[in-house]
Amino acid sequence: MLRPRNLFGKYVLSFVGVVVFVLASSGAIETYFIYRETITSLTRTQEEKAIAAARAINQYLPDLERSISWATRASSNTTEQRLADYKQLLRTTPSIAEVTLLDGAGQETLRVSRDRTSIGSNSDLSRNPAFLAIKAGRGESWFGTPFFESDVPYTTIAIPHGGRNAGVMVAKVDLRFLSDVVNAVQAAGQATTLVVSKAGQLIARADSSSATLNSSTARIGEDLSKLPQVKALKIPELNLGNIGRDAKGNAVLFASANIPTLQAAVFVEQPRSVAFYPVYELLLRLGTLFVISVFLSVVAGAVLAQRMAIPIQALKAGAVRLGSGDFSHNIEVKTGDEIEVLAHEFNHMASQLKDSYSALEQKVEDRTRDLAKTISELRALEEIGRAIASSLDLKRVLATIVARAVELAGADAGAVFAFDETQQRFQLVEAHRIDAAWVQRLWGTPVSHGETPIGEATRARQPIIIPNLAEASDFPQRDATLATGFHSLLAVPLLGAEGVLGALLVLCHPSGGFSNNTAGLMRTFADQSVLAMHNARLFSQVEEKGRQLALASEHKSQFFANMSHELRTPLNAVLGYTELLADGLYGEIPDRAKQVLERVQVNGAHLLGLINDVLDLSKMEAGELALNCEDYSLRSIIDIVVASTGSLAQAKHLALMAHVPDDLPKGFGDARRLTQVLLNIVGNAIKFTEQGTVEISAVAMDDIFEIAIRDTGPGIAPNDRTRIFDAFHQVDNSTTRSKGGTGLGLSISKRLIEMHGGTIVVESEVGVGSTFVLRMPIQVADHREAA
Amino acid sequence: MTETRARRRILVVEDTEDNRRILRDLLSAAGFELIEAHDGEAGVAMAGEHLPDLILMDFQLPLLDGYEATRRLKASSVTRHIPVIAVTSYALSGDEAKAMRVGCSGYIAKPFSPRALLTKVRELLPTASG
Repeated sequence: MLRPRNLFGKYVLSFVGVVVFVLASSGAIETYFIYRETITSLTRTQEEKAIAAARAINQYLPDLERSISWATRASSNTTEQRLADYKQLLRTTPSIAEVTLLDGAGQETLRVSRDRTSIGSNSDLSRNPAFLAIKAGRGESWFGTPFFESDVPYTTIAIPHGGRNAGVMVAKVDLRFLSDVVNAVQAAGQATTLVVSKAGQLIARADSSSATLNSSTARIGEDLSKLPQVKALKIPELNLGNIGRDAKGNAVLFASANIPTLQAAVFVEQPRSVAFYPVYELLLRLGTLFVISVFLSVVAGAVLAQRMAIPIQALKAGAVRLGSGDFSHNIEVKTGDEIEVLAHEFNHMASQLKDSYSALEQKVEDRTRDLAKTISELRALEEIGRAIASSLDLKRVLATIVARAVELAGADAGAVFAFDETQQRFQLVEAHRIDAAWVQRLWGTPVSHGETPIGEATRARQPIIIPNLAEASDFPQRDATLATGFHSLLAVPLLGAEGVLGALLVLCHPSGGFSNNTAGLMRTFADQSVLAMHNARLFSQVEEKGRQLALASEHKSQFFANMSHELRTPLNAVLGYTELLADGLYGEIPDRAKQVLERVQVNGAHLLGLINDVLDLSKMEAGELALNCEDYSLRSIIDIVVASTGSLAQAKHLALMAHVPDDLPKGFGDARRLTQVLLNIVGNAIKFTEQGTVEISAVAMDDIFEIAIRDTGPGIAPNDRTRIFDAFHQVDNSTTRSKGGTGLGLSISKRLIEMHGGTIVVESEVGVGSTFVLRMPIQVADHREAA
Repeated sequence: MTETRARRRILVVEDTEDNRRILRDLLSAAGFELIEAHDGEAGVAMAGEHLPDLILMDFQLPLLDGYEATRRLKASSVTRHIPVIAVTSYALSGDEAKAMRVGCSGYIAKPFSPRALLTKVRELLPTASG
């Protein structure tokens, strides 16, 4: 069943349901009671009739027996008399069909019927059940069981004769007369009364006028033993509402009663359709009522539901429109009940919502406007910040600032000035939406030429607003500015830590164009302008410095190249000539002169060493010296060093020893510079050691070379151990000359080793000796620059 | 190389008079024939004209520096075979490699020892007729 989805359907269905339920239940109850009542009364009536019929039949047979026995006793002497009696009996009693007289031995003496008389036939009827029953009895009459002859029901009544030759008179009774008896009892009503023998054969019947028309009537003599009610005769008590069948099989309501004398039973029955007619009629009536009621209830339910559903649907529609934001919709419900109240509340709620919405919208609008303003301010500041950060062009930055300031102040024009300290006047830097020449001519006046709003603002160190120029106290630019159409202005000082840097001026056509908020905002712009001016100054300074540095660097490189060339060229001539002289190329040289030439050569060589060292050191200082890295053998380097310094050591009677393992790995670095470093250190060791040994040892540990140069010299005092690596330092300056060093060797060596990624340290004990230890990577990372 | 020439001919390209004189005195005394040029362009021209057995090339020269002059000599089929010894006072790291790259056979840093230079010259002179 489809469930009703909407309110209308629900209402109608519930209403109809209630009506149907009430009607159906009351109808059912009523029907049941009527049914019971009908059955009870019908059964009772039938029962009474049956009992009455049974009683009448029961009465009828003894009456018949009495009239027979009276006839018998009255003529107990002769056959003729008896014949006459019997004939008289047959005449007076039509229901007796035949009378037979049996003698004491059971021989037929007389048989009289209406159409035949037989005397002394002496037929032996001693085995006749009637004779046997009388002989066995105690002189009482005997009633036989019904039997049929040519479809006519009969029964037998046997009456014993008194006297000596006691005979038996047997009367054959035509039971068709029972119909009259039954009919007399039947009197009225629509029932059929049946008399059925024990064997189940129909003996007699009585039909009501309407029932005779019924085609279901059974013939007399028909075997009805199969009918359920006949079978049920054995049941001692009959219940209410017994339903049986008639001969045609139609259902009948029946009651029954026994007829003891006839060994038969009476059935009073009525077709069920007839018996229950009142019930059916009631049901029909109820059904009609039901249909009418349902129809009425549907109509009523529909009307009621309509009345209920329409306002609720109006409410629903209103709620939907309210939900979709339509607060102007008014829900029209005039039911005068709670629904109207509800609708009213809905409308009230809608108007409340409408109010709060419009209030909210107003707030949102206000906030949005504020935010938009803030955002545009922030955006302007951000843009200025970006301009400051990205541009070195002060004019461009200030142009951005003044344009944004004019825009955000809601002004019509603006200008930014820088204060020229030497001339004591404001110089226009940038004008926005205003003629720059006009601004400069009018506002760029020396401070001494009278008070201007921008001068006043810078002196007061705060913004000055002139809301209405026409009413302001006079100042030199007032009338000219008014003539250009400006009626209000705002002047903001640009103040740096070092004093007045300039001023920002914004102009507005209408009077009263600036609020204090605007003044505050303009102050921010002024701060940004100051920052931009600072930055611009710094940028230009840095730029200038950078240019100078680049130039200096270029000059320096050129200088080193030139110095190298310029110093060596004359030295080349000096040393070259000296050698040629000494070799006697220009003729024989006196011995004294030869000694001088030797000194010239020694000093020239020293000068060359100095020049080389100074140039090296300078190049390192300037970052001009680069390592020329290649694969090298540390062993070969040490061999060269030993070979180069061997003669020097020998001259001083020193033992020069080298301990280098055979399996040192190949190194990668600047071999020439490393040789230079070792020559310097070993040379120093030999120079400063007067007696003993100078030992060179090298080992490879992991990925570093460790080279130690140990001597038995005078040692170095702790204070001097770090200073010896400083340029132009020797332990004792006097030794510089005596030992012939430049004082730069160790400093250069330290830097060269550091350029190789290594270190150089000295361990020393005064009076015992010194050990210089070099540690550096076996494989140097290439392209190291001087520190 | 002409068989008629009695002495080995050396071209000195050098702008400094003193250095030219030292080389002249040294090499003449050692029995070489000397021709001299004062700048790079003249050096290249004289090398093509006189076809010396060896060239001593200063690298700091007016007009055309020693590198460019050497590059030109090595580019010409006439002078390509003549060994060039670079004589330079730059003494900067990489100078020697640079000299070798443009085709020099030897490298001597100023200030030089005349004795050592003479050794180097003898070492590098083609031995075909010497």
